[in-house]
Amino acid sequence: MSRPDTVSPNRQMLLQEAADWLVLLDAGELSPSEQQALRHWCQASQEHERVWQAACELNRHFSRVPADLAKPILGRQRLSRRAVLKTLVGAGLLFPLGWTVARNKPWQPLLADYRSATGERRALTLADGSELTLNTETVLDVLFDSHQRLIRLYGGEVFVRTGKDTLRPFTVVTAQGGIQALGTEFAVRCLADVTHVTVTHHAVMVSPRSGGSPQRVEEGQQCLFTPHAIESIQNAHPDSLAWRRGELIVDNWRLDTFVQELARYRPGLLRCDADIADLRISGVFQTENTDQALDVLEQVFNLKINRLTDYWVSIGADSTQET
Amino acid sequence: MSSAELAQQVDFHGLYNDHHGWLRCWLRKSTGCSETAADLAQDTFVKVMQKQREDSGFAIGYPRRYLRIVAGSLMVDHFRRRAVEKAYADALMLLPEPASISAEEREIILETLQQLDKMLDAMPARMRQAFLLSRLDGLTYQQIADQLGVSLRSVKRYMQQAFVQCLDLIL
Repeated sequence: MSRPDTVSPNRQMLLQEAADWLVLLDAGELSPSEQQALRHWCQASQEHERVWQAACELNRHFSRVPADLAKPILGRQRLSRRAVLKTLVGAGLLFPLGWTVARNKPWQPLLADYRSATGERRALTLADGSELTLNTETVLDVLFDSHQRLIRLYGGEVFVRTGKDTLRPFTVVTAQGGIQALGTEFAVRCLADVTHVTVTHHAVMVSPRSGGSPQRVEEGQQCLFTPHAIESIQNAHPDSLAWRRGELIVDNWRLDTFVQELARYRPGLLRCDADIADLRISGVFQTENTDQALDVLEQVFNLKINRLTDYWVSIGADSTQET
Repeated sequence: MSSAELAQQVDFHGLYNDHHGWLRCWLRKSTGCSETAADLAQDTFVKVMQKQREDSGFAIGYPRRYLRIVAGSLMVDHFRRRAVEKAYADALMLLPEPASISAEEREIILETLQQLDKMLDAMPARMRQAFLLSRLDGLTYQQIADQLGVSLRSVKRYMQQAFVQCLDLIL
């Protein structure tokens, strides 16, 4: 680890001292005399100053990455390195000053308030008494102020039962536009480039983001819209919200459609071979146990489940059945 | 295996000629990719050359053993970077409006993540946990102590040592 031309007897000591200061700073505000002492320390030599700038930069590093994004990446399981080999020279870094942990302000959109994991269903009660149910892989922000109650849905699917508040309108906003609650119960799902709305109680007003006149969607109806227009309003399928009970109910679905839907609830890759894509599937499946659903496909529909890994499953025809 | 005599002076060209092919081959076997192997072999020799420049008394006893250590370290690093890239790509896919982040910003975040990951990789698991809870979750030392079931003093020690390690890496 030694770099002979840069190692001075002081180096290790300087790093230790800088680290002591950082620990002290983490404990809270410095007293005036401590501040004074720190200033003295920093100004003791060029080398001190350089170390302190690096210390500030270290903290800035962390504030530069959105915590929610960084946590799963940096906190991942690691294989232990047999030997810690410090071979690489640190990259050239900028050294602005400042030790404020003003976290993530420019990254607000990345720091969604609520998320659900793959396969997870999550219930929330908001300050106004509104109840949200997040389906699998759902990300949203809750933005309430004195004028409005806003849910920004970034991805996934949410069921909303709005709380009573006649003064502040309740709106769910997606990339495609807004859905304002005129009643109490509805579900919103983000698909690739469209938003899907199902109303189960009263009505909502749907407004595509860039144009198209807002339209009312009534109880028992569902609506598909793009940023530009409302594509369709039709009667809602009674089973489309079965996910709230953890069920996926399919009736004469194409296998590829079914697999796509099931894949939402399962981490990793799930696909089916093209030659069996139009096979028809019916049944009630548990979204919390996709393995069971695969077993059913195998046993009831005589398909072959190839588990390359738990996270990579492909479904094919069972060739042994045909011979 | 090369002979065991101590080379007093490293002849870089000789080293390169004698061992480059072997190193590439070893790296190809280890990484399963000839392109990666070629890059890593190159990086290994660059590293050796730098080392030589920095230290005139630099000598290598067992060239292949030495090259394997340097290359191994670069390889670990390479795969760690890959792992971060992959995890980052996955995380980005889950994001709300990916369009709201420019390509440049994404790169900056990725590069920062890479640097942080490198620092964290050198830490023992407990220390890393404590450090992440402090820096990413913003927990106080006392909260970290409670969560990890260790004393406040231990947390302070973890943090202090983590700071030293990080500074050592970036300076």
